[in-house]
Amino acid sequence: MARIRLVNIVKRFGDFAAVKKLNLEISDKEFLVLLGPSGCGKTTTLRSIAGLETVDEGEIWVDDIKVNDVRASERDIAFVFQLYALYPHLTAYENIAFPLKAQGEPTKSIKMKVEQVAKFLQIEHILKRKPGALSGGDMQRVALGRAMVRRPKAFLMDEPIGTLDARFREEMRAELKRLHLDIGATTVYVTHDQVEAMSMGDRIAIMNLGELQQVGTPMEVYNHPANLFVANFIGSPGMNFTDCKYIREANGTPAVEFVSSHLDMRIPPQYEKKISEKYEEGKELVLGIRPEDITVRSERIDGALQAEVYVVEPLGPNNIIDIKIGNNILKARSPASFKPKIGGAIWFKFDIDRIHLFDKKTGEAII
Amino acid sequence: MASVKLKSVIKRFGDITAINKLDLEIKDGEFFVLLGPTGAGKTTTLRVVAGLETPEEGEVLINDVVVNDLSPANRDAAFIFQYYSLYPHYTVRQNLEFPLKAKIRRTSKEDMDKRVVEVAQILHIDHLLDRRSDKLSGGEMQRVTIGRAIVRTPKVFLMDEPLSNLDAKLREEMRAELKRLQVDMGSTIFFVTHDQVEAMTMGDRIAVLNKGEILQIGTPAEIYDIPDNIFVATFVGSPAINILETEVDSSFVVEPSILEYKPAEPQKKILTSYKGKRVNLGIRPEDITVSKSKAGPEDYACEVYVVENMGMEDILRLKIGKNILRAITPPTFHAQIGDIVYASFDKDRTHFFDMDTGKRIV
Repeated sequence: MARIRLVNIVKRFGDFAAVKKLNLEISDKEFLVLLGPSGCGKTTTLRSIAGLETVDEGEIWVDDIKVNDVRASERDIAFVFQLYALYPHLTAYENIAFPLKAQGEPTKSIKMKVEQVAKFLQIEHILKRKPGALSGGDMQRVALGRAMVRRPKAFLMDEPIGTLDARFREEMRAELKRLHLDIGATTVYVTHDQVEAMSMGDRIAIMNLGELQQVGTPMEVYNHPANLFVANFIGSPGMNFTDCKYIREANGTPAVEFVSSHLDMRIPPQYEKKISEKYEEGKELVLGIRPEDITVRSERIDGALQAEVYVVEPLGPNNIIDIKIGNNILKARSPASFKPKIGGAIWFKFDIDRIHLFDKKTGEAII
Repeated sequence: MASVKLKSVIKRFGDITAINKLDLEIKDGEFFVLLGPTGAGKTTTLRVVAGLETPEEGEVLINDVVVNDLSPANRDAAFIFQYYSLYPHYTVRQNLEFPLKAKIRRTSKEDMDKRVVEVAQILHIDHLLDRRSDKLSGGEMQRVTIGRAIVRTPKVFLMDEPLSNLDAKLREEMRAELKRLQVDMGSTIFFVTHDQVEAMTMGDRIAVLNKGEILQIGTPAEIYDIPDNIFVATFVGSPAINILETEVDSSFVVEPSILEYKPAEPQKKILTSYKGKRVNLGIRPEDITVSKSKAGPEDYACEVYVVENMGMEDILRLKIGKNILRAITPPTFHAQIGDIVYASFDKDRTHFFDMDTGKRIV
């Protein structure tokens, strides 16, 4: 069992608050991803859980034990660094055995545990090799094996696959995810790559500037981002934003007017009441729409507005069309066969049910 | 602007042949991408064009003039390195001016000031002209680096993975901006990267390089839809293409009674010469249709092994016999691990590669 709880954690480095009043609960067997840009505090948080950093305020609980004053080596949590940090002069067997040997365990017992782990990770056939003779995937398994062999309560991983090339990373993501399922241990995984986070996390905790922005499943943070930061950070390309104002049209219908072009668009009927009750006319908002929720066409269609084709980015299975409206550039997704001319006219339409509105001042999501 | 040609270029480092008889032609005004894994020889190729490396054999031509004996400074090619190399104690303006100050260029102060402002405006950094370079964000530094290259209006731009140090979001933005800039300026850009998304989104044409040799040159669509060989097919596209070893018989057997594929007529004809042999069948994840029920004989039963919820779509890994297939479904499909689902291949989008040479059969 390993439930991890962070209660009002604060960690400072001199004057700088790297982590500010963090509250987070990680369930037993959960794969939780700490996601955010460089400097957001995710690694500091991970190291605090490990015991490699001491927090200035707050409590860290592992199951029913408060571990603030428990040494890192006694917290029964395995920290997996970049996956290539294997001892190059030792064989795979010796690498995995190392933590047990260091604890003074008898040779017979070590042999049993290493072979058990190797069988589970399907690396029995490479145990006699040294890291230099192993493929990246095998090295990853050996590194995991070394972490697993002490049967820790939880695994902490700090951007373990960040340095691998793209194709390999893709494979390792799925492998790690599957391994987590089979091993069933609580895992806290740090990354700046939102694709990794979406792919692997049961839940994702997004951080920025030391503060937790949102915690949720991949679908929750994708479909219902709590604020502008999360909405833009998740998704590639990220959500498009355009400044607008809350207005009432001549007939009283609640709508938003785009600041850059003065075009206006009706608010989805299901949210009309919520917005008209809460806000006054003129309220500054930000409209968000994901690329796949913008339809683009080369001729005018019903309800579409006109823009300029700024750039066409072919991805292979589909294209990203960058469209320019006034000073705004929005990215829309289109089928691969759609290749409009750069500089030419294009018509676009938003899927009304998929728009998001944010309070411009606070950045918080309204709908 | 200018064209660039490499004719039978060979570059060795001791025993290692980094570039092996390379032939390449970059047209005037083209955004040309050299794509390949680390160690393929891409940076070496770029450096040969710049004049920073001397080839053992072959010719380098800029605008149809052989430049082998010209020093880098005289080739009129601007090189943008991977790591920002701005003078940190100089302001943005001073960094941008620097190339124009070189005595060899003889630019008047008036022209220089005008050009610097012009370039800064194009790159949206005119508001930063008097800021010190060490006080800029990553994206701003990247623009100044590009600006410093543009300011001389060189014949050709040589860029060595200039976006790889930026974080993912900024890279996305800069890709589109760089592409638009190139279109507006009509520049010839020779761009090197290991990132296939960058190559696909920016290149007018892409050359795929591996181990010093070019495997294919084509537009993004050509490289993606009609890969010449298995290396190109697996290198471009994410998630990667599925490759299944297949025995050619009356149908194509990946695994007897588990996955047997019947190719469409035109493909079938070309493949008859392979009867009794083994070939590699390639199918991209987006060309596999996944359904919850079996509709026809070529709907293969699979077990859902891993599900990645990516927001816009779900990436599934499906276990079928000894193979694992990568497939894509909309998020509304809601596949769960352990579910049995049915996969069928789009017959127009199935590729076949020779097992010995790796070359495309059909």
